[in-house]
Amino acid sequence: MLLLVVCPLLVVNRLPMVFALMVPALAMLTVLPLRMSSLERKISSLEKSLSLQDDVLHKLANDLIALRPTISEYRADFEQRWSDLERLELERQEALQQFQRSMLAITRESQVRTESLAVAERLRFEALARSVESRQRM
Amino acid sequence: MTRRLFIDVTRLAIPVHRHSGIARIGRELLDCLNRDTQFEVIPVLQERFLSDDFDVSTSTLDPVLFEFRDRVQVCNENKMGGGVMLSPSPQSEDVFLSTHLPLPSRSVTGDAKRAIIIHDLIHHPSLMRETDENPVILQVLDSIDIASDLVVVPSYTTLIDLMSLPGWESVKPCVVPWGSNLVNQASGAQRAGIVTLLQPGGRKNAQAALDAIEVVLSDERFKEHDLTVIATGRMVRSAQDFLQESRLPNDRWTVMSDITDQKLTEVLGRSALFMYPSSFEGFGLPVIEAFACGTPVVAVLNSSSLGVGGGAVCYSTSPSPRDLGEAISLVLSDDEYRAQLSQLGKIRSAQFSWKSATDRLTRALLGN
Repeated sequence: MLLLVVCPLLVVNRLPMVFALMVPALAMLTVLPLRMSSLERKISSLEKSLSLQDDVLHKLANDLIALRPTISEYRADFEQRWSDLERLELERQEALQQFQRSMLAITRESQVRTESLAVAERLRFEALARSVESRQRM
Repeated sequence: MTRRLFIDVTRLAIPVHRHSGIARIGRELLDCLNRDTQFEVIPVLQERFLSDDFDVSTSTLDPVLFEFRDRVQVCNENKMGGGVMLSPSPQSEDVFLSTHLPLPSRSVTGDAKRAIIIHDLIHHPSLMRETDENPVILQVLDSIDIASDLVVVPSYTTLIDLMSLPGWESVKPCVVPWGSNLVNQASGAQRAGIVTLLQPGGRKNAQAALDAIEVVLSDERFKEHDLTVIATGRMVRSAQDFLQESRLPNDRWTVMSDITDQKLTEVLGRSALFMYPSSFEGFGLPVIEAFACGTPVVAVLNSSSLGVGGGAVCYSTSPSPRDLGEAISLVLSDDEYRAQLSQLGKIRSAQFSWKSATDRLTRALLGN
């Protein structure tokens, strides 16, 4: 093929141009296989790498599938704990309200008792005063 | 559909406890709640507290319980908390009420709403008021589910004691003061004499009361007054022992045992003074009964006596013979004071009746 290109050119006596064209062509013909080989190595390496990554991904996917029941259990456990916490909080609030109601009732009762004691003490004091007065008269 | 009320009145079937104040409360509730058409009342006895030879058909029963003998159920529960469910099995609309003893387990009470009366916490070790090797109160507290069981107390004194126990701050209580069925039949005739209870036990202050009465009755001013001691069951013997050992002449004291309500009304109605020397009570039913009969009351100032007696009592600031004696002398020596206490007591007694107690209890049991 080279001869087919060069011969006509020689015929027309354009040798310098022929050489000028031959140099890059020869260079290309020399470098191209080298680059092709390098590219093939890289592709092969990439393929290996991809294969490894694929393995890792498969493993991860399998692990995730294996973990799915555990996650479901964790979720159920979390929901149960949350529900328990909500119930406990509700019970705590009810207990607090009950305690406050009882304390309010006790406070009212305390006021009533204070007033009752005041009445009892007034009557007793009046009786004592009459007793003293009676003794003084005697 | 009528709700069923299973009411535990085991004390009414135990001879030594049948005359106690707590048994009396069970008896009154059984009688009054049975008249309340909202419930079909079924008395329950807890077998583990009964004597081995107890038999409903042959044993001597309290007269009120006797009326229910065809309906009585003996509840059988073992120490492991298992047992035979009451029959027909209690439903969610039914109620199980214990008037004193621990609540049986759910295996006995089924789906019934549960309620229990705590009269006082005197025997609770944390209160250290009296020692008891195996206080029933601990079993009572252990049997209660604070979150769901209704706790009935007769006074704020018991409520405060209960709320002061660790973990019991949020107990759902219902305060139901007890009442009296006594009706004052006393005429305007001159009253004379002192009536009291001389009960065994340190907090009852029987000896201090007797010492005080001895001093008062030896005073010339009070020579027309004698002492009448009301006693029931085991208390009769101890009251007689106290009096035999006292310096009071035999002709100036009488012990009346196991008397009827009518006789009690008569005795209180003719007496000038009722003395209640106890240092600590969960309620103090005798004070209400004296009020109902228009009898002036002298009592030791403690939280429950003030809650029940209000302004209608001459309070002794301590249970010492000196303070008790001063209070008795003051009341006996002043006609006007006695009249005031009598009048205030009658007004106060109108606030305490078994009808109002059972109405209040019924509302609580029905969740109203």
